[in-house]
Amino acid sequence: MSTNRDIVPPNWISSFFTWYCKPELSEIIGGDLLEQYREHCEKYGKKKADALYFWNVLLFLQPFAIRNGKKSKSKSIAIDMYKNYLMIGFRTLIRHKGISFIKIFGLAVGMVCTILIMLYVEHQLSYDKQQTKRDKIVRLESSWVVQPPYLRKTAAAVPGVEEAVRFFFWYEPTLKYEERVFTVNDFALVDSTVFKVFDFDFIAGSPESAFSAPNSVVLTASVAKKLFPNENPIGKEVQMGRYNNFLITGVIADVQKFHMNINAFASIQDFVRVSDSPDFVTSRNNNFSIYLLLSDHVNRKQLISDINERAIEVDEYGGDPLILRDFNDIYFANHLTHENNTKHGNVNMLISSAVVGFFILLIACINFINLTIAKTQMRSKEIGIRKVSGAREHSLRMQFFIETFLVVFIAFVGAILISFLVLPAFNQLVGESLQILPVSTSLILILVGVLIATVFISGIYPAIVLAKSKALNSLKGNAGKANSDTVLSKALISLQYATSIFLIIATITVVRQLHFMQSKDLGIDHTNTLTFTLKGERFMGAGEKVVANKRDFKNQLINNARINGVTFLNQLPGKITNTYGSGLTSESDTIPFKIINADPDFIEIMDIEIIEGRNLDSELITDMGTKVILNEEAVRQLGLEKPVGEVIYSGGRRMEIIGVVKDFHYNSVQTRIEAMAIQWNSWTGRACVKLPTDNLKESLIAIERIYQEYCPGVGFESKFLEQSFAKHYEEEQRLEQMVSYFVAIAITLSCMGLFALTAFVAERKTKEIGIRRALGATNRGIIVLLSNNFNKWIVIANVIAWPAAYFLLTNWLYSFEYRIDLDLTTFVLSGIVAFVIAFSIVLFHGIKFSRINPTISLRHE
Amino acid sequence: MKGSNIGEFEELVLLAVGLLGGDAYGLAVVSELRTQTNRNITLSAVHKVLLRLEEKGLLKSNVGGGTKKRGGRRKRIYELTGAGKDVLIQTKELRNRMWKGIPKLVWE
Repeated sequence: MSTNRDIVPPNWISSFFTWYCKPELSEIIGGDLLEQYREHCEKYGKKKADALYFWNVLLFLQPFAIRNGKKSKSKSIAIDMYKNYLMIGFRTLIRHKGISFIKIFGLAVGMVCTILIMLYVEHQLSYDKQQTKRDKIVRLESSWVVQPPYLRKTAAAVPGVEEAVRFFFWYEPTLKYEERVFTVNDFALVDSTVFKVFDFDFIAGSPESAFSAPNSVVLTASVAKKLFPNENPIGKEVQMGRYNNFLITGVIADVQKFHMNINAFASIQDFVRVSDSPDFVTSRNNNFSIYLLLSDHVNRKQLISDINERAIEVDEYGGDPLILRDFNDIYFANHLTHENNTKHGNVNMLISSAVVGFFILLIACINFINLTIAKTQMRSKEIGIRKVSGAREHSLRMQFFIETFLVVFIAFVGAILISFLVLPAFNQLVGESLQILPVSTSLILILVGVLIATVFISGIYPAIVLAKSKALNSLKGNAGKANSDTVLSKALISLQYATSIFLIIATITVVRQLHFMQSKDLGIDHTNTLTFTLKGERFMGAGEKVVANKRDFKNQLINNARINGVTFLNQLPGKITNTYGSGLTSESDTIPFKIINADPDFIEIMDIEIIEGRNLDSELITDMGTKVILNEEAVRQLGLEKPVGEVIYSGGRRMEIIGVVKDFHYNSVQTRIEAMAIQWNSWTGRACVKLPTDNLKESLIAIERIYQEYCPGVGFESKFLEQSFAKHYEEEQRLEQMVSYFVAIAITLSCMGLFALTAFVAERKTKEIGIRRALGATNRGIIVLLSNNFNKWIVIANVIAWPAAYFLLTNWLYSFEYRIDLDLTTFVLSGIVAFVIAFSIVLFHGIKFSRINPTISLRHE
Repeated sequence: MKGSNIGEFEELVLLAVGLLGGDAYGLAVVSELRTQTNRNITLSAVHKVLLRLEEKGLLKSNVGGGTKKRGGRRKRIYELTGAGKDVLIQTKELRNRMWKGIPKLVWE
């Protein structure tokens, strides 16, 4: 066919073939391959023929067809040349120690940043991924996350739902085994089918048998270790809260990379039975996260409308419409309200950090490119000689590429070593436990990716430019001096500075946001407040005797001179999670309210402002259980003009509103203030004690002594409320640190690059400077000569950095409920900082060179 | 003597070269063997065997003309040497002898 001649296999495959194949076979086999290729083309089309061609070429990679050094002469020359390139490369590295150091160190630091950040990103992306049924799991939500318990049964009855599991987080109960008592955070009460839906790694016991008998408890390894340091926990009887006879039936590995913090499991059914509180699962106790396991290929739209219908019909559910949230979306979901005990990742943050990591690597590569090109002048004679002796462009390209590879590889090895060394510190910084060993596939991909990206980014451009220089010019010593190169160098430098400026803006913004959060008026005074759990037998429950004990205990505390005030409550500020459906009538009690049980002293001691009505009164026993104080948000949501005196229904109880408090941050500054109510009852297992500012130690001893009198033999664990609040800023504080490290690295690298480059420019112009000086140029004139429009490039850097910073930071700030606005001063300031740094580097060289006596500089070369 | 024992694939290649008469070059052998055996035979395998057989002295080759189809590249055309023919005959005779030796009972 006449068209046959036009169809050719991809050139790179053919070149690859002729490259490795023995020359004496190359023609014959190549012909056969081509003929076969054309037949395939007609039969299967070009695409498949290309693939087959490539495959066949690969099949010839056998000893009989591959060139070998002994028989083929051209190969041995190639190997000698490569050896020569490597040798010359090493010599160049050693001769220019300073520059080599800047190149290698820069690249290594850049690679370390990228490797660590990619590890972190990979770690974040792997959250929840170990759940094998994750594609079939959904969470039942409405406008908020937590739901009333009865919806589980309703949802489970809908066809298409295989299992439904509720999670309720029991507020830090104690676990007691013999003499050891500990409070356990993140204690999940679940339905016994939980392990059919979620996979956890059982160290002892099995998912099938864990909840097969009543009164079972499953612990994580670290809790089990704490409670049973030297014994096998399985089958041990523990006391859970005030309930006896619970058996440990399983131990799971610590729950990691899961969107909920969980330290222990017990079953809801058991809890209802032993606590004799059937209304726990029937009332508007909106504290349950409900997960559904769906059958394969179920129509989710249909399913959720079925569930809604049924909920209204069977349960007279009147809340916002229910929706299904895909399990895979939970970890990176934003701005969910009323969600308990959940960890979230931030996609914007991840993208930003990946971008930052890449840019730091880019800065290092740019240094490499600029320095390599600038240095060419010194090597132009070598290039010239090579060209004169017959080196072709491609072999020169190869030479520079190999030199790049050499440098990058040394840096790469260094980067891996450094990564090992700094990983513990980095882990502390990001609050994760990333690991390099054992080496995972993703790590290998990351490493190879970083290596290849670095080699190509830094290798290609210099190789092309240098190889192109004209032989004669090279010999004259003019290579790489073309105007376009300096423009490119400067453009690359502006990119470096743009990155630095961006990072400076980011740091300032993060610091400002953090400061804003820390200094924001919380509406509640949590300073000097010691908190502890009332753990002893005498405080368990809410019976009359317990109430009397608590009253007595409280009086003893207040009577101590080292204590300013005491309040008992059921949850600590900073971790208020109890949510009950509330409303103006018992039928419409569907608005989720955060409910705090506290005694009347709470509002006064915590310095919360009452803006309407009155506080609970400890003298009026009628206030107990029947009166409630709302926050402004609750009043707003109920739509009340004059709230005081009105009646609300909350969790099935009728209560009269006696007062309104100003909205205060009962949880972290980051979460929105939601509707909240304070009621007075005796279910108060925690104490907040206000201490005078001086002599904290004495106060602590006093409290512990009184406590030990009441609960002998029970450990006293106390915490300052401020510490729990500080935890909320941890992530931002880490971010602040991380960003400032990046800034330091980016600026250092950029400066090193600019410093070296200016030194080159100055050196190249030594003669010119000498002549100018001899003719009477001023120092200022020479500095201007050297600065050579740097201002322009710094301005361009700002132009690049500002929009990028604006975009990414707006996005980041968006993840906060209460946030600062970006302001122009930050941007301008960052620009000025970058400018000053860049200019002082240029100035330094300018002054240095203008001081040289012209007679010396004229003798240069 | 080297060359008197050959493998199955080598035998097939030798036969194909004989079968193709004066037009036995690499790709032709591949196509021939594919149609005859209905196996997926690769170019590299055939070339490898052709080279080895030539080394053993069972085949000899000449470089033939190139065509447009092959991008102007020449072919190497193989033919059987005397030794090659002998080996084929020996193999066949060996088979026949052994065939005849199989007791009839086996087939029933």
